[in-house]
Amino acid sequence: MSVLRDLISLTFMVGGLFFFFVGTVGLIRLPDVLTRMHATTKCDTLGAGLIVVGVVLYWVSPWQV
Amino acid sequence: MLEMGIWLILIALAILSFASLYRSIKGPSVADRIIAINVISTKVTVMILLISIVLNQTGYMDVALIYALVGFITTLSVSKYLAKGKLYE
Repeated sequence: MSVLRDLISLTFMVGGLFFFFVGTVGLIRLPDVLTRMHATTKCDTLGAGLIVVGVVLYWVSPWQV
Repeated sequence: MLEMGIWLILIALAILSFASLYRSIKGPSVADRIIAINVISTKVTVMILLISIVLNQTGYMDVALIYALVGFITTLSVSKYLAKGKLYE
């Protein structure tokens, strides 16, 4: 059961890391202020949200049944 | 397995934070610097949350919560200073 929990948490965290990577590439390469703001919104919503979902699924209690 | 993956994610987030620091230093306008600092604050919050798993201590999640609040107030006050020219009346 612990291996399943680790796999699900790590899947969510890698997804969040992908969106952080996309947002940072957009922050560096896009040409304008508003387009950079559009790119970094992906960091703030999807990246942080997916990693926090992974952390929650690690600490939640029903895995330890 | 999970600890190794979390260490790799932490290293990647640190590298991405330094990549955002490039835009924070070399940004042409003030709004670019505000955006870059906001993104760095989000990344550091997520890194503190991941450290709470690695060190197996739930108290770090409170630290991440307070850090998120401080980062939001930083972005808000710098934006207000940019818009109005002063922070309070």
